Amino acid sequence: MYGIINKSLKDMVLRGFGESTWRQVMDSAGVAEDSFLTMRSYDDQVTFALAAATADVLNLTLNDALHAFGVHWVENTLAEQYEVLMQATGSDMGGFLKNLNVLHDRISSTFLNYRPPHFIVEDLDDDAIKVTYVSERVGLTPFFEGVLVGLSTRFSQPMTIQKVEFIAVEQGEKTEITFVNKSG
Amino acid sequence: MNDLLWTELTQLFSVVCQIDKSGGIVRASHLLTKRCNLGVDSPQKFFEIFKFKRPTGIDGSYQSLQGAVGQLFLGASETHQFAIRGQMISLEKHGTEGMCFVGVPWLWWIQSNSKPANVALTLADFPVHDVQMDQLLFMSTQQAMVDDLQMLNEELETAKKTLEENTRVKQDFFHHVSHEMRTPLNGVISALALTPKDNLPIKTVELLGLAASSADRLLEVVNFTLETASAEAGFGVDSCEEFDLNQVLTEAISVIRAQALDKGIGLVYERDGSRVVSYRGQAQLLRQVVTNLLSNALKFTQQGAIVLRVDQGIDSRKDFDRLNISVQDSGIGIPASAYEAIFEPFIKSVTPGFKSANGTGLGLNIVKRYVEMMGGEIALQSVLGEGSRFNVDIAFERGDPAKQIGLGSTPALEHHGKLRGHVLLVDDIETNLSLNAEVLGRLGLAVDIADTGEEAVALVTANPNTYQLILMDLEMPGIDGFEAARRILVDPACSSVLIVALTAFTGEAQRQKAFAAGMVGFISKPVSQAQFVEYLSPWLSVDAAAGLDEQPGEVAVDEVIKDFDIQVFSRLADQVGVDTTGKLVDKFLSESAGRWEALRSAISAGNMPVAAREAHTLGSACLSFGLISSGNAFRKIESDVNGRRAPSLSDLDMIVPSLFSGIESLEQTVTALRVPDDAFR
Repeated sequence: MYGIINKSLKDMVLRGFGESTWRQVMDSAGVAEDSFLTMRSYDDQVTFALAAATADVLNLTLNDALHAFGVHWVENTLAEQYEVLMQATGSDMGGFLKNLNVLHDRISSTFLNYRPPHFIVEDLDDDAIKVTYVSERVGLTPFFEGVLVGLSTRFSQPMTIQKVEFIAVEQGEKTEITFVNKSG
Repeated sequence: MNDLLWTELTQLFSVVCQIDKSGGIVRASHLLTKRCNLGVDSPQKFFEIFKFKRPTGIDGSYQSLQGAVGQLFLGASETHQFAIRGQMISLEKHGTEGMCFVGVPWLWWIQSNSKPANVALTLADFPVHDVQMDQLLFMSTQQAMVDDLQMLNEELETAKKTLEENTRVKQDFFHHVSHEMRTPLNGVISALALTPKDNLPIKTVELLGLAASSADRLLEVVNFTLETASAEAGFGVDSCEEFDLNQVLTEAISVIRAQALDKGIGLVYERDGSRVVSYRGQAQLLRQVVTNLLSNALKFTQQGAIVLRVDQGIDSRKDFDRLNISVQDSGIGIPASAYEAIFEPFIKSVTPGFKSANGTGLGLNIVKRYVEMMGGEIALQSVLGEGSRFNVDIAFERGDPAKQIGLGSTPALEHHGKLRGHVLLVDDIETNLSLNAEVLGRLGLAVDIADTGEEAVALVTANPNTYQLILMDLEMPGIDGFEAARRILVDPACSSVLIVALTAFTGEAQRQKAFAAGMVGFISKPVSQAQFVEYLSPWLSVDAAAGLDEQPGEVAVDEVIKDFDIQVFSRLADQVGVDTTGKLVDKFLSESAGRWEALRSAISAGNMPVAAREAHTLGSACLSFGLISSGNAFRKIESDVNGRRAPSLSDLDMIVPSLFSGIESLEQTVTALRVPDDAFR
């Protein structure tokens, strides 16, 4: 994954828990160097090791840690570094999610080693939205759930996740997440 | 324009506007209509809404537009806070009058000029082939990269400061340890050297000699250990100073001169014709390199001579010379298989059948490390049984042009005599005070002592004209040597007092600190009697007859053409003591007849290498004992042989009168000296 992901995870721990906790995470993960560069491609194992170590050190489950990371990713990293793009991608939950694939298409032209997830967004009859998350990587559904929570905060559209269903696939991960905005 | 074409254009571009020949808008795409309120304020003219930055010269006339087909159009509407970029196409070939603008929002203008709330552009406003959004992402990411690098720089800067602080602490520690270890060693070495041995049993003298040589070797190991640790910590690599090459090399020669005389080994210093003597570099390291090479050569040479030679070569850098400094001996030689091993620490001997009794095996390792620290290279050539030649190649920057007064090919002669003057010795350690006071007293100096910095300041300021020199310890309780020097020199009556640091510290930082405090010299303890003379002679009268201005060299020798020069002999006796001098003379006299015959035989047989060696040995010994005429004559023979001019036996015979006359005077002098045993002390 690109360094921006590892940087964001580090930023989350630093902001929430301080330097000494981050040092514990580094030690626990066995990662020697933490001067991540945004556009440099790092081995996925570095990111997974850091996420697992964060969960250990903070006494969380891995899923809870990834969920919190997804929220931080939207509310801090993207908002601070890519706000214009965020605005261009959408001004509400539904619009934003429907433009996600277009956004990732454009990201792919800059981050050449990028392997983005794919999304299928469907409006259901009862004002609920179903997002199908498809990724080459396994285990990041909780991160995406955190992203959804971060977006609901961004657009002031409090939401409730109604169902998370994992679909069996040969490779990677496919999950259907159904949620409803409280205001909708 | 037909609807099919319009539909295709609006699928490819988000900003499309058909205009007639007068510039009036016929129809516009959805985005343009929404942004510029088209249809609400109609009829509108395209060139009244947008002012175009590019192309230049567009006045809205149909002719000017036709001339700009295919060019980039950049236009903006301040009123609507909207801007567009694209190009004009002519519709005439499609059977329609007028032109059509096709393009996209001009993202950079809108971002720079619109209030954020009014931007509200979405990804859908940009066709997939347009790269402006990609560029925006790229630029945001690049900015993040700049921030990353800035943060890295800050982290590196912090790490550098931390490292520098740690280095400083380590350096202080090394200096402290160095001082603490050398001070007691100084006491041991000095006490052993000064212990009277005349009436002791032979066995006791041997044990004292063993203790002395062991202490010397321990000091060498301590120095090696501290220097290695210091070098690994990166210390001592910046100590560049301007130095006199001849002086540095002569100092190195002087260290082994007495031992060479004792072994009957000749010592020659040769320089090419260069007159450059002043260089900038790490003189302390160079001096140690040459000293170690000479000591090593002497250790493994039983007869013949050691030649130190300097040749000046060209370096690619302006104002630099590449110096080749070689030390050649006629010793036992080194097998080729050991060329690398001999530079390893603690390797004492690599030559089959030869075991070195003395030394630590550290000298050549220090040489290699120091040469590399100076950016140089060292090479070795050797033939077993014939000798070795170490070549050191180092580039030095030339020093002050005004100081380039080289003497050319100059045999080195050291002129040391007794010192004259009144000195103040300052040291807080009583042992050091008493030992050094005795050594200095033996050298002919009047010595006062002070055991604190405060006492030294009081003594000197109360008697500003009494002392020709102050030897100042640096680390003392109360005010240290640096502070004491500053307090003395700040007194107007004492501003010209000469203060020399005498310390167990050896670091370059301490040396610089001493000079910064106004001191004029820096002597590292322990110091031998001969070294005291060498170090103090620049500041004190050396001898009533010789004076301070005496310079070694051929000029001085040429002006004193004597069969026997008692001044030269006296200085030798002062250096190594009367007893040793007497033994050396005996050895010379017992061997000289054999060497004379060997020289004659070699000349007769045309064996030029042997002739050169024997002439050199005889010449060096004669010059050292003050047999100037004979020494110069042997040197002339040596020079002729080296210049491939074969000398004759009659040349040799011409030396006989002056040689006999000189030897007679020498024998008389030695005999006279032996009566009063301490005549030269």
